[in-house]
Amino acid sequence: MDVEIRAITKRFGQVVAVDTVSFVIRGGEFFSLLGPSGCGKTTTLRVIGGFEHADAGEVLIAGRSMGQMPPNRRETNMVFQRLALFPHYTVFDNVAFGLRMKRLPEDDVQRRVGDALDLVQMPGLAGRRISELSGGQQQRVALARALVNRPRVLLLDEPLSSLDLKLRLQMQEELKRLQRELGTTFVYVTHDQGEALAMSDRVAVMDGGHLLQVGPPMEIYEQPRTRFVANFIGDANLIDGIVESIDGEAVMVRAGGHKVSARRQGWERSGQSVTVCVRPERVRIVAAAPGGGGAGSSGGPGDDALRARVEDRAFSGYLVKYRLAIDGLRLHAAVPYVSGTSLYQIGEDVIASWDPQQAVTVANE
Amino acid sequence: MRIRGAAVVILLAPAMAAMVVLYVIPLGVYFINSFHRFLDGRILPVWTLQTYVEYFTDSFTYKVMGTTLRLSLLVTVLSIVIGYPLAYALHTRVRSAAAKGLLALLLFSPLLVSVVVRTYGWLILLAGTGVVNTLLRGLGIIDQPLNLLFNMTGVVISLTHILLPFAIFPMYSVMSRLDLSLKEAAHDLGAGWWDTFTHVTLPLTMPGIVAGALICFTLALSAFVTPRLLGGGRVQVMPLMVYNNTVDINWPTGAVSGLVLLLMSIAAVWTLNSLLRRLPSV
Amino acid sequence: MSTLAAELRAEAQEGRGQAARDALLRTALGLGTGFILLPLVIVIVYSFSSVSYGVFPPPGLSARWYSHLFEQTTFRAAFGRSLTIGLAATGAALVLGLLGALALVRARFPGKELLRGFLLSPIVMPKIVLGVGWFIFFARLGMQGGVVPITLAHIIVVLPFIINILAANLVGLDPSLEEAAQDLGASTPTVLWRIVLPQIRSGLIVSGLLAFIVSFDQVESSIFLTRGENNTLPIEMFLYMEKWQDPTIAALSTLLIVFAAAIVAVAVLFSRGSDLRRMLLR
Repeated sequence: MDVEIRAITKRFGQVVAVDTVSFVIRGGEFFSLLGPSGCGKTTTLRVIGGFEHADAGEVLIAGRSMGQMPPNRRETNMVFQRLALFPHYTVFDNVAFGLRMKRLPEDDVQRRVGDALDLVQMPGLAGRRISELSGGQQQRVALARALVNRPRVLLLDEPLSSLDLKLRLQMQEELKRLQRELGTTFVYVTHDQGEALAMSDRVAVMDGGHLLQVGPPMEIYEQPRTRFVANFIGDANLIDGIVESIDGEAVMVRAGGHKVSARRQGWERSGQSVTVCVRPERVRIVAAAPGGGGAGSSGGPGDDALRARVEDRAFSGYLVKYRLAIDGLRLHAAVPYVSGTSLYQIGEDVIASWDPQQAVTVANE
Repeated sequence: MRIRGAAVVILLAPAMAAMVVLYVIPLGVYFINSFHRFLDGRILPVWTLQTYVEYFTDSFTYKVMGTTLRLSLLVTVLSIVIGYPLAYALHTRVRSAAAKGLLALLLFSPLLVSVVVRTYGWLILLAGTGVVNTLLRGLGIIDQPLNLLFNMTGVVISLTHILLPFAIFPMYSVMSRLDLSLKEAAHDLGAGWWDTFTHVTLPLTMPGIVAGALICFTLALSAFVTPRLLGGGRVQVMPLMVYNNTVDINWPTGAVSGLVLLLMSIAAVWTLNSLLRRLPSV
Repeated sequence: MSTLAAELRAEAQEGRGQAARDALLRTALGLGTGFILLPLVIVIVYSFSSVSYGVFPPPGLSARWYSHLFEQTTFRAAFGRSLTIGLAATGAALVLGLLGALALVRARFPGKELLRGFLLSPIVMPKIVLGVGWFIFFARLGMQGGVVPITLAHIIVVLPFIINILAANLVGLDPSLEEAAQDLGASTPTVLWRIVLPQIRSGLIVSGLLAFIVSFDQVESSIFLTRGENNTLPIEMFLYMEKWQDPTIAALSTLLIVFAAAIVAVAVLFSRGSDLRRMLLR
């Protein structure tokens, strides 16, 4: 079931929570809205569900404009952030609620509720009261309650935010499995970029009410289009500079007293101020030869090489993270830890380099 | 900061002393009178259950109890039925906090003025030539003025008015604690406004209704001024009987009926409290 | 195509239903507020009536009832008495209640809940029963007349209100503030005086005002302690109203309404609006 968002704007008093946002969600997709608190992702989700009415723009589900249609008549169902399970009903009555609202015969209700509880792996708990369940169990009931109605689109509003880490990771896998199995379109809101990258077919990054970038997780990671996206997704080294020259697939940028290059995106112009983005795991380090200079001694031909001093070092299991200082610039490098090899010392001089094709230019914002 | 040992005693002593001397003892002295007899205009300080026997074998007793219970029940039901939509409207249809505060103040304001004043207002309103009758005759709904005063009708209307704020505030309090996403979830699952109300809002605000009913009922049981001033002698409720007995120096009978009134009050509190405890809390 | 039309129609109907429900609820709230204020408004209007019998609308306006009122020394004396009793009872109850509330909230001891129930019990006591009890009690002690017995009685009547409000205020305090003070060397009395008390300022003001109003409004609990020469104001009005119903009472009532409004203004000025709203609507 396709969902199309066309130029949606929503204001709360003076605040513009969602500003002319447009995108398309393809049927059967696991689609995430990602961004920091207050970026408008939850508001956008609520507009899709019919809990808020947009001030401008429209929402189309399966090609039909929703207009002012209230939630109880849209073909969407929502898993709320605080779950909103009815405290005065048992698990069974909670899950059965939507079916009973449709006045289905009780045998059907029994069967479908049983199926739904099996689907979320909670068989046999139908008679329990909500207060008797653990956080993870309540999660599953909320899911079952929504899915039992066989919605075309399932909306999830940060459903895992109240769970502890281990449970959260477990539920992420569950959700992904469920989505694949059912083929339902999932629209998932989260502020956790790791979560979004792990589960989604495509991610939409939002900030301050604006949609910044939409794409598959890898594309967003490898080719962030703005500074914000680069920073928000994973770690990034951001080097500001001026475009010096454009040469085939590469762009030469002068930053401080150094020259670095990046993969050409196509919009760069000579003299333009840009930011080069290099992920820490792309930065290679070798010990510097004593004495000055430093070009060309590491990596492949055409690699940029900068002379740097190790400022800090942190060990985190399978990675060693170095903070390097290159007069005025700071660079982060993440090197896989191979046991037995020696680590660089703090204060040591090193040469940092990367393959220019692994760096991208991002818009300055 | 925890308070321990001797400090606890020091803090509680003054209040406890006042309560024992000025509350327990007077009540004790009062109820001792129920075991005395009243004969020929004098109180006989003998110990007997005769007063109790006479009280419970007098059909008048049951008539009065019936009137008291009927009045209290009726007024409580009216206060809840009228008060619930008002509390609901205040909670869901008034947006700004300032407006909510102002309306709450207005709804609360009659309590600041003496019950005598409020009852007097109803005296004027319900009189044969008062506002209500004039209005109804002016609109052509009735020809003759309705007899709204000095009977049960007037007492019911006036007492409902007095108890309404006591019903509204507990119900409002529970409503305001209701999680909005529960209603949204019901909508999401296909419930229209009526289904949402009957399946979600009403069951979950029941504690407020019970709390409001508790306050209204116990206040109605012990109402004195309103039945006295607006009842015209026809509304014979237990507090009036206690008053009359006392004025006639028939303290023993007064004590017995006062005790029964107290027990009715306690029974109501106990019943409704246990009901309250068994309801799911929001 | 036909199903689409049906959908759109249903959707429009739902929208209209929503608007109709909004209008209905808002109207109900308006009417309800009007109903609540009606007796007070009518009393004020009536106090300016030019005739002594109850008729609406009044044929003319006049301030004669106010001048008649000011000629009545009995009402003035009664007002003074009610004021004195109210202030004295409130003052004493605030002290007793604060100490008691501190113990109830901050101490742990067996039977605490029972004790709390006991201290709050006068609220469910039918006031007429208490009234007779105090009558007999003070009669036996030979303490009849004057304002002292009434004041003592009122302390018991208002104490539960004060304890309830202050306890609720105390529960909401952040204990780490007191712990910080203790860490910095403050003794327990100092902590209470300098840290706890200032934080519950709103609670003290609100409970004090409520206590005063409750005391001022007492009728059946005090009616047997007055003998005509020491009537409190509501009792004086009550007795007057049993005999006459001319607008003098309306004039007096209007002044009392203004008085109550002044009390509210004091409350609003001296405490934070959000605290008040919270206490009212909690």
